[in-house]
Formats: sequence, structure tokens, C-alpha cells
Amino acid sequence: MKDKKLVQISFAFYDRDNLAKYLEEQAAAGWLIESYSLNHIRFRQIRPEKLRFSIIYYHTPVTANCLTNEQMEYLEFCARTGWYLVAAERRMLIMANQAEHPIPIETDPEIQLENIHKSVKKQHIRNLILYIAMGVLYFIWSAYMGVVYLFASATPPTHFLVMGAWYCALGLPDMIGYYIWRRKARAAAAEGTFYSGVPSNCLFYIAMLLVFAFCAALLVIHSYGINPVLNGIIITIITIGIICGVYCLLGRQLSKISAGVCRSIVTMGLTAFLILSILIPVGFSTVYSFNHGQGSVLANPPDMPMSVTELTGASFDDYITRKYTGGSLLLSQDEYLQYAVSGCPDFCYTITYVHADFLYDACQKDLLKDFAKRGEAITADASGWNADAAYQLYEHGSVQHNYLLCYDGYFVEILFGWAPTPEQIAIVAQKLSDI
Amino acid sequence: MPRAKFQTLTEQMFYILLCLKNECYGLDILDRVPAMTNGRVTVGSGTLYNLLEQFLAEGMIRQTRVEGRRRSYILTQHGMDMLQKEYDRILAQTWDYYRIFGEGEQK
Repeated sequence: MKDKKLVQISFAFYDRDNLAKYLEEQAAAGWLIESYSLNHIRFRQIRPEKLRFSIIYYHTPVTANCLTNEQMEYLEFCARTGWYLVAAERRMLIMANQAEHPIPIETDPEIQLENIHKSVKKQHIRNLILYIAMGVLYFIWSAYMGVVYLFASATPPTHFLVMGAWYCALGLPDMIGYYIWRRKARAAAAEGTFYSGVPSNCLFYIAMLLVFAFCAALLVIHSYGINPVLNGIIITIITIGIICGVYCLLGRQLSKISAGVCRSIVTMGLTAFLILSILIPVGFSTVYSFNHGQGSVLANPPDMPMSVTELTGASFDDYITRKYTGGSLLLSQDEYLQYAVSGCPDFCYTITYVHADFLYDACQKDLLKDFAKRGEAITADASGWNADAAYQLYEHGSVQHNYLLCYDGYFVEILFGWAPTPEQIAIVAQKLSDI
Repeated sequence: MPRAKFQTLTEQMFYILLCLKNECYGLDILDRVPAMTNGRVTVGSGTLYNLLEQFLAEGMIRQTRVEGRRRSYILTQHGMDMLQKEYDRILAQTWDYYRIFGEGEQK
């Protein structure tokens, strides 16, 4: 029979009462805490015993098997009233007492609050601020990358958005929850009493729900519609997530699941969901759909809106032709590349389809910004391209045969490996306006 | 609004300082305070430890002896002044109470 167990359980760092209550229940069932971390507790088996637990914050980190003189003196004081140290997690001390109604370790609410705040600032608040800062940075970086890269690329960097949401959810609820609790506790301490209210995990669950909804939306946007099997997988995963979440919260409401267990299940479940919402879009996005030319297994030329052979008369077999496809429900891109085997000019173009009208202006801005990274984007004559707007790249002191064309509902960026003639431009304009 | 530190003394602070009129081990205060007050006032071990450190920092007590990890303390003049001030405050309150309710209504 096992004499140790590891329990995945999570309490807010300032939720000392629920943690103490949980440890008392475990001791009564024959399990004594051996070590503690924010995500799990290790227990060892003992004879079932009625113990009282108290969670104390000490001003310096404590290592149970390497105590300083000052810490040993503090523990001797506690031992005088029957309290002994069972576990320590940096500045948090978990003390136990065998008496039915022991004198509490802390009897002055103001001093207790002061100790908690001093320790928590160093141990937890700093980490929470870091989480929030990282979350914000991820979002800022996502915004900088632009909507085209986020929603139209073949390998969408959804992990930036997901990580941004996750870090903010890790940091904000506990930070806000702590300061709300502290405000109430200070008000009670000013009256000379201890605040007896149990911290609510509402903020935590709301944050988790928002992150779940956000990531579910990203998952649907990026992956839904690629194939029926994937659609089914996505719907199944989201449904399981909803059922688990409802089960946890109902169980919590009916007091069938403890606060710590509920919080732990929600955290682990959401982590798994986040990993899937990062991997699925990347795993299922289509990188390329054909590769005709040297070493290709395709017998016939692939279907393309236009090709270099239609413009120059060159043979298809003189080129390696590739298509890259990526996208989501909001935007998608088809990139066609034709590399000449020998002597002939290259020809490449990318079509960006805007499925959500409200993103059209943002897309145009991103594509122009990308275009302008290589030089200067000068306005060209759009009528020759049957387009709403046209831009040409001006690089290294001369105009390039690189164009960005804006149509209703889509954009096309073309790179000619030669100077196109007016007839060729007319052919391209006709084909592009028929997409 | 939080009270300024030691502007007034809580009961626990008051009785800890009383215990230190004569030299005393810090640990022994845990038993002396309930004995002095017939169990009415108790001091938590963690609270006592913190208060002794704070009184030391404020110069209200001083350390007299150190035997291993057992330390003895005694009141300083500053500590005696703080106690006197608190005593005067409590006395003033008591007299105000007598004045309002009259001595005949005292239990």
C-alpha cells in the first residue's frame, strides 16, 4: 500500500483558510502534508489524527532542513504553544497543532497583515506582475505582426495570442483578488478584528472562462472548415471543455469538490486546451498543395489563376511551381511561386482573400507596411490593372516590377522576374479581376 | 484609517511591556500575560515574536542576555514612557466614564 501521495491541487496564495481546512481534512483521513507548491501537495501517510493547521507568512524564505538561528528562534516561540512546522514553501510556513483549540500563532490582525503583505510582495506579487507584463508583451507583439500574418499565414503564430491570454489570466485574477481581500482585511484590522471572509475564486473562474472562450474562438477561426474530421475534433474538444468546466463549477457549488481541487482541475484542463489550440492550427494548416517540376510526381500542370507560361509562352516544365496555402475563417492566402530551371525569369504572386470585410483596411495597411519594408511603395495606375488601388515598389533608386494590387475583397502582390509588356499587364489584369 | 504605529498600545502590546518591567525571557511572556490577566488576554507566539522585534527596533525594550537562542529583555525608559502614556490615556477614559455614568452606576 502506498504511504505517499501527490495531489494536484491549487489554492490562491492568499487563500490560507481553505488550504488549512483542506489539510485538516486530509490529516483526519490519515494524510499529513510533506511538501507544498502552488500546484500540488505531497502527503505522507499517518494514523488519522485531528490536527489544526495554520498558514503563516515569514519575512525570509525558509528551508525546513536548513533553518537560520532567527528562524529556529521563531519556531521555538511557536512550539511553546504547541505549533510545529510541517512544511515550508519559501516564505509560507505550514504549521500544525494537536490541540483542539490552540492559541493562534498570530493574534494581532494588523501585524498579521503586515507580515503577509511583506512576504507576498516578494514571493508572489512580483511573479504576478511579470506574468501580466509578459501577457501584455505577447499581445503587443501580435498587434505589431499584423492581421495578415496572424490570420492568413500558412503557419499562424496563434501561440502569441494564446500565451498572451494565458499569462494575463495567470496574473490578473490573483493580483486583483489579493488586493480586494487585503482591503477588506485592513478595514477589519483597523477595528481590531480578523477578516473572516473566505476569498472568492470568482475572478479566477471568470478569467479562465474568458481565456477558454478566446482560445476556442481562435481555434474555430484558424482550423474550422479545413476538413470534416478536423471540424468534428474541434467541436468535440470545445464541448468536452464546456462539460468539464460546468461539472467543476457545479461540483463546487454543491460543495462536492473542494476549492483547491476545482481550481486545479480548471487550470490543468485549460492548459491542455491551450496547447491544443496552439498545435491544431499549425498541425492542420496546409503548407503546399503541389510541387510541379523537377522531382515532382504530378503529371499535369496544376490549376493556377495565372502562370508564367500564359504570359511569356515558356514551357511549364521549365519551371518548378509551388503553391502555399494558409489561412483562417477571417483571411486566407494562396502563394504561387514559379522558379525557372534555366535562363527563364521567375514569376511569383500572392493572393490574400479577405473573408471578413471589417479587416480589409487593416489588411491593406499590413500589406503596404510589408511592401514598404523592402523599399518605398509608390502609387501606380490602378486602372491598368482593373484594380481599386495599385502600388509599385521603388527600391535602390529604381522602380521594381513588384506590385501590390487592391481589389474588392482581395489583394494581390506580384513579382515579375522581367519587365512586363502592356499586353502582359492586360492579361494579368483580366485574370486577376476574374478571381 | 490605520493607527500610527504605537500611537496607542493594544492590550497585547500593553501587557507584553508590563511583563518586561523586570528582566524576562521572551518566551516566558507567553505564559505570563494570561497569568496576569486571568486568561483574558493571550498573545500568539508569532505575534509576540514580531512585537518583541518591533519594540527592540523602536528602543522601547533592550536585550539583556542571550543564552543560545533564549533572549532576555527589559523595558527602557522610552518603553516606560510609552506605558505611562497609555496608562494615562486609559485612566482618562475611565474618569470620563465615571463622570458620565456616575460612581453609583459602577458594577
